[in-house]
Amino acid sequence: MLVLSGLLVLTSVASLTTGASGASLWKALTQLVQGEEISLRERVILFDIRLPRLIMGILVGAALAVSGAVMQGLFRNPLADPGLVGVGAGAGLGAISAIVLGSFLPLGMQASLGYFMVPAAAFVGGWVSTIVLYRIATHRGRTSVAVMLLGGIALGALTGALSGILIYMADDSQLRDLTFWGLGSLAGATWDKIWLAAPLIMLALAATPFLARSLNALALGEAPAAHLGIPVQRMKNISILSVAAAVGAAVAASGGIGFIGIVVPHLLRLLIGPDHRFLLPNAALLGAVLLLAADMISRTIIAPAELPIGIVTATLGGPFFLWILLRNRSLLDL
Amino acid sequence: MLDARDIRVSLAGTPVLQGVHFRARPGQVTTIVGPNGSGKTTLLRAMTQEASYSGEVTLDGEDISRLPGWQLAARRAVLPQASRIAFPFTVFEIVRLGLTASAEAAQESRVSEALDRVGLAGFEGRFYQELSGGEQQRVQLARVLTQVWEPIGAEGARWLFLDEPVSSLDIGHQLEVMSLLAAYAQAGGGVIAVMHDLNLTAMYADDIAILADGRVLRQGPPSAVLTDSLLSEAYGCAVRVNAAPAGDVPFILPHMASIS
Ligand SMILES: Nc1ncnc2c1ncn2[C@@H]1O[C@H](COP(=O)(O)OP(=O)(O)O)[C@@H](O)[C@H]1O
Ligand SMILES: [Mg+2]
Repeated sequence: MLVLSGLLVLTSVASLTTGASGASLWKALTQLVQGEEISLRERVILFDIRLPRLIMGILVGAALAVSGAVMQGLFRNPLADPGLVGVGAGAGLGAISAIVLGSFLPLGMQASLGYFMVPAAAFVGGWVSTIVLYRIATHRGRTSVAVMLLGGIALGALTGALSGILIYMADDSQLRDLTFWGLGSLAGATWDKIWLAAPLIMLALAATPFLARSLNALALGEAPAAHLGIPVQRMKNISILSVAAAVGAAVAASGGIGFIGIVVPHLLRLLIGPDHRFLLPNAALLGAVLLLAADMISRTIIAPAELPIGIVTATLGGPFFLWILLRNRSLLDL
Repeated sequence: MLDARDIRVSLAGTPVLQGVHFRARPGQVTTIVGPNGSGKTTLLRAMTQEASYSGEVTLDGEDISRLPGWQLAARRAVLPQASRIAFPFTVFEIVRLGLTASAEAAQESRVSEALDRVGLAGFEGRFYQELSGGEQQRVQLARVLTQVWEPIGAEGARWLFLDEPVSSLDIGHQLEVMSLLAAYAQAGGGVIAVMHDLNLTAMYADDIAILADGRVLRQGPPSAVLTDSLLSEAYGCAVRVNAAPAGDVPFILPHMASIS
């Protein structure tokens, strides 16, 4: 935990000083720490571009990793992903609708919604699909995790089909927007977006420490957890709503960023074991560190252009995930 | 005192329990026996709110379905028939779960003490998934024991609900665990165990309920239940209850000739 906190500080500083405008910012940062004046240009880059990007990276990384750990605990499956609650598919449909159908809105409305239209639609889409899925899976006050899992696949296919129709209707520039949104990026981070996403993500993260003991008990199964005095249905409600809020806000703010939610909890279980009391806070830290690192790679690898961060996390995360899987077959009990 | 009255359970449309009456007293080992599929597990699941039932289950006069989960967790612990764990937890972490649900403020050393009682001293750091079936069963028993460690608490007797607690154990560990349960009852706690082995039942049970086809054929002391005619009726094969020359404990031998 200490190690990870230190690592987060290091990557944060590195992230602030990495990017298209070069090394002079390191100087500016040291000047700032020593209380000296820095130029307006450096101030703008540091406070209006790099800092919001850094904070968004920390928030999104923590949100995705912690949500992944919570979902895996809830579904009792190390391969569960935050996307399972239907948030990803719904958010994708929302974003695509906004990009493609947005141009049909009256110009005045387009102007007033501005660039908030896509994230807002993504958030609403994510929430709606989660609530629908949750309703489907809840029968007589009990939520079936298995029904939710399978229903999620059905709902994902349906939203995928609807998205497909919209994509078919899209013109070239919209297609480009769509592709970039789908791959995810922190480049669009602004203070405005942070003020919208941060409260949701923070609230959801603040709920998770109360889930740790319940998630540990749930590893035994739902009935044994109930016999240990865990209010199983209440903890399911809290888990699913927190994950929908955190992932919805994260996806709305930065598009679809994969693998953080699976790789981070896995890695931590290997390092510190599956106890959620330690897993959840460490997942927040490691998720933030890894996303910042991926963001730095995405900014520098084809500089001065930027690679979408989703490509970086998928290229590194995919093989890594396979490697974990093959190495730990016996412990994962697959 | 645990009292279950007129318990009816239907699973997938078929009636599995058809008006079962069952009671158990603290200070006694009460066992539930009967052939496969007679509804033993279902009865235990109804009495622990895992299966929905009609009828009434009371614990010391209180309707059990009205008690909040945390209060029930302080008074009774439940051992399922089989247990799979989702993540690579260690034995220590599994047993500690019982401790966190316990009403007693106990030290973590209780975990080792419980493991010692079930013959697993030194297993704390092992991965649960890498143990044999019998070892896993005893880890779960240790977890259940730490949850209701003292047989009598402030609210009265504590209870152990166990579904075939010795089914995967070798004979030495079977005796060890059964003696442990008998000692728990002796100290004032209540023990309700679904049992497969009639000889172990004969040795340790104070009270036996015998089930067949979702009904209790009879409940009473071993001498009243372990009879040739009742057992033959319940299990659908001829058995004869005998007494070992040394003691007054009856034992049951199947008669091969009459099965065919
Ligand atoms: N989930 C279920 N759905 C339908 N039938 C069930 C279910 N669980 C058990 N049964 C049936 O109920 C009967 C009693 O089962 P159970 O209580 O597990 O028996 P046992 O006495 O061997 O523990 C059996 O006939 C079994 O097939
Ligand atoms: Mg059974």
